[in-house]
Amino acid sequence: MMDKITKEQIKKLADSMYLSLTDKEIDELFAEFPSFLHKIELINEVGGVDECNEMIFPFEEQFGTLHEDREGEILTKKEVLKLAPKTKADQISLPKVVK
Amino acid sequence: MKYELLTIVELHNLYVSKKVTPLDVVEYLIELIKKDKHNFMEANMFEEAIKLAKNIGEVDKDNLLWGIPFLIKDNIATKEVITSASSKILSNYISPFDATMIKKLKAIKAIPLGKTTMDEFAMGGKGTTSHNGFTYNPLDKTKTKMMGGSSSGSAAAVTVPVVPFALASDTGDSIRKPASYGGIVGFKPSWGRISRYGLFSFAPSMDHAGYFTRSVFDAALLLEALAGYDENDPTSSTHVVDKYSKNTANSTSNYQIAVIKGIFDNILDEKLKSLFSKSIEELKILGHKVEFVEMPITLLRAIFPTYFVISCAEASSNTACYDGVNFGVRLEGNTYEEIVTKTRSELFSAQIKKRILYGAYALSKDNKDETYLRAQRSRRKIVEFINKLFEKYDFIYLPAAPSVAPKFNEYNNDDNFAIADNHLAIANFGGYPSITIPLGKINGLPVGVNFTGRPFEESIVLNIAYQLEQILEKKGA
Amino acid sequence: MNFEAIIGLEIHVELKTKTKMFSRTPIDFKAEPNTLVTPIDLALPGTLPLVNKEAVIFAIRVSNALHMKIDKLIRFDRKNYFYSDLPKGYQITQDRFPIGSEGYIDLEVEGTIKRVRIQRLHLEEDTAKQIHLGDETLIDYNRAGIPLIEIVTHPDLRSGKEAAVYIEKIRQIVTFSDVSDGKMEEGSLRCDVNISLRPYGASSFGEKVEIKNLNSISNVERAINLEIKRQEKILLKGEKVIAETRRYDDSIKDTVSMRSKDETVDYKYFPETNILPIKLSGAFVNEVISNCPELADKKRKRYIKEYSLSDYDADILLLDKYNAAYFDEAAKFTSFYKTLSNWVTVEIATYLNSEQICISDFPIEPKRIALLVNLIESGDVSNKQARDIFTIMLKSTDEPLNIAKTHNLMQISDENVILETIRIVLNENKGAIEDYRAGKDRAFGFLIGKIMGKSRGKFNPTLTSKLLKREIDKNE
Repeated sequence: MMDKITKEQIKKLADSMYLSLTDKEIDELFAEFPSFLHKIELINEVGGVDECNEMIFPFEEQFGTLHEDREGEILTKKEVLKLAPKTKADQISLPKVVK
Repeated sequence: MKYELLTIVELHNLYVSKKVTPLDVVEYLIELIKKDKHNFMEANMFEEAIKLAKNIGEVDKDNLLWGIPFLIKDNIATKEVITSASSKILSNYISPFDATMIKKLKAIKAIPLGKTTMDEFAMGGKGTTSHNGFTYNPLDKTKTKMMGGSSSGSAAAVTVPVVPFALASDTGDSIRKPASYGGIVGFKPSWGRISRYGLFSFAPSMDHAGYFTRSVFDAALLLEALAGYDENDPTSSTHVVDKYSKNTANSTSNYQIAVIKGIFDNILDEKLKSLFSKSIEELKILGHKVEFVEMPITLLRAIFPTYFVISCAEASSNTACYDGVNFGVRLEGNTYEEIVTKTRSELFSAQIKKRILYGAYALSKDNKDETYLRAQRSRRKIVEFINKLFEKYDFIYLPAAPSVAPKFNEYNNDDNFAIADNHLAIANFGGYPSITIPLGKINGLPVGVNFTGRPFEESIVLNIAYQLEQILEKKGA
Repeated sequence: MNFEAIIGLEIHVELKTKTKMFSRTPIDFKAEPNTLVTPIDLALPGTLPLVNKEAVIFAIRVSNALHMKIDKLIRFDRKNYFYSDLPKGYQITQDRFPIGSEGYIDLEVEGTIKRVRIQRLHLEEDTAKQIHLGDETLIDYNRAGIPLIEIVTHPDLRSGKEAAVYIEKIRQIVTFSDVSDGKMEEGSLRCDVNISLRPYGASSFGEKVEIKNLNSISNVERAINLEIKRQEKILLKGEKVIAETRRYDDSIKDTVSMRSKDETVDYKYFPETNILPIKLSGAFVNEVISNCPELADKKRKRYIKEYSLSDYDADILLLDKYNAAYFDEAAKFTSFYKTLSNWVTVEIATYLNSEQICISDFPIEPKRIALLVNLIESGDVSNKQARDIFTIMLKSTDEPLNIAKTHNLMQISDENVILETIRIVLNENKGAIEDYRAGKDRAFGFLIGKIMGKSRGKFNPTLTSKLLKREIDKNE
């Protein structure tokens, strides 16, 4: 667990989220980060907070359902392509992606 | 006639008595909206609305939503209408499908007039991060005070007012706090009570669909129309849909009401405290029991942090689809990486980027247990405490916000202030039905109160709110 | 070799459900690009995942076949990363609680039985399909969201041969249980290899290399063998093997290093908050297991024990699920299993091969083949006549008996009728009888010839021969 964060680490986090921050943005976030870490500290002060299970959903007695394997309404090819910024040969186009 | 001031019920009565037609009302309201300067509109649906109004047919006296115009927060999918979530990255995105809420309202002939502004992707509480700029609180002539958020546009539209109701969403307090700033009703029913199909996911385990109205009874009507299991949203509830409007005005139960002392004590506005205490007396006169209860300060101070960590974490994942590849705006680049990075970096606002990074931090391997997972455990602690309260009490009753609408640049970093400012998130943790109604005015600006109840007990939450609303209206709130 | 190879395999199997894992989008591999897409496949905001019951059923079938513990509480997680074929920016998968865990499979490798432990089996969704053309990449979302099961072994395999046998076994399980086409060449079965070397007797593991892009079982075996040699060479030099991902390149029949990243990607797994946990009842799971189509191993036992087929015959029948199914159906109408097996694995197989079709398109239904087999075994038709009837059956829907009668392709096996002719011929050819008794075997053939001549070739030759011998010997 980090007590602080470095600007380098902020940049790395941003890269992993495909965000490129300006120096100003990195500085701002760097200045605000202690406030975020402080929030985490407040959570840490809750009694017994590490002695129970995580709560993921509000109602733990609510369960999901399995859905029948049958077809629903699909989009037309025209609708799909209309949404895309760039298409070619009925597909969505990008500059060549390297693995 | 000022149709904009009418509730759903009042407008319906005019329709039934043939005093006015939906077309008259729609045309009238469209003109009002066009003239409005509070910046609450995104895409409008005026053409379609007029068409719908023209072809609506015979009035249905048993359908109270027949011909009723409304607005929609821009994170709710509307078919063939730009749905941008007030973000530049979706400024050209036309949804190919309708949210279930919209489908239901169209089916009963309510008339959508357009989309409203919001804090981008529902992240924010000030109404300042929309790609179109600030949304102003219509009650503040100086245009320096916020409407709150993230449902700023829908709140403003019902505050002016220009419509009797507007759809919205609430993940931490995004309906119930702006309602306080606007002096209107803001309702968030139980988690899954209204289908989230079509509501952009922000933090799904805390996301709720809801709305603003100008009366509690209208809120009950809308709930009847919108509640129910939807097979397109498997998290929606199979609980029976009550006759909420019938139950709203009917009950005379003696309720047990809890006021959490730690939250009340952290309100600094003495005038608000005074108004609130007077309202407690009113509730007692009505026959209800109101008691102050203790809640550990550690739990109280953890409310906002818990909300913030969980929502940023989930949001960092729920915004990963905005990449300019197959929908939305794409900024050009020579490679996939360039395109995605440029698109996201330049088209997300600073607020979104920050929250994405807080979220990424919270979920990263090194931090996950002590950040994200711990926040989820903290959520459990808070919910367990509140559930215990609900074994004895029917509602939690509190001021919805620490004071009147703050100025846009007002900022209070104090941990204790945050308690009074963010306690409404409790209802998102536990999925509790929660309603804000107007309490009164301080220096000409409204303040509201909030009732939060047990899961799926919307009927009594609406009932107690209705009872208080009637009393306060009589006393000239 | 101084080192032992420690090998683990990760197999992805595409499930042949009608619709996708988390949406009601239909699946058809032959469809035009972007014609089988719904809003959720494009990751449009406001969409929500639905869990496909059939995919869960298929996962239970395979988990059970692999003797795995089945988790009756179905839970999903998000695996977060950015890539052009991943529209949501995350894949819905099962990280914490795979539906199947800790199972095993027994392989027969060169005469010995080897047990491979299976660590996990989980459900997840497939990515969109990309075609790289010149300087563009084109994306087709038809495939985005198709259900996959991922099967991960413990690193129990020790050679390319073992890996090949394992993959074949998995392929057999997923095809016979009817959950997948299991074709590596088509991508409905994909295999990644994890391999490291360590000195015999060592307990710690060496550096692990991952090999991807293997599109056939033989390529897997080859790639493993090459990698073992490659790593051995490095280690014998005293150097360290670099942990990396390598890509198998079929054009050079070797693996190449992919651009390796400095660190492994952090997928920031967390529970999928749009899918509630789903509770399966014990009854549901039991029903799924008992309704599962019969697996190859069980069929094999049945063929050998109940039908008395040889191991070899059984294996040939079980090479292809459709052949086995054909055989099973036919076996309902005859009890001459060995003959039936020959017909399926030889006569029918030859025909299918020459026509380049598969047994699903074979024009003769199983029942009619069975009836033909019965006719052969009852002596009503000879083998040659049967083949002629077979040829006619290819173009006719008529029953073999009718065909035999109509086309005069029956032989007479009535003993009395044959004896009558035998006696007449014997009477007319007393000289030949004496020749035969005197040791001239050709006389027997002469008599047979006469008898068959009188019957215009219609007598059952084997029976005729038997009866003639009996008659001659009787009158001695």
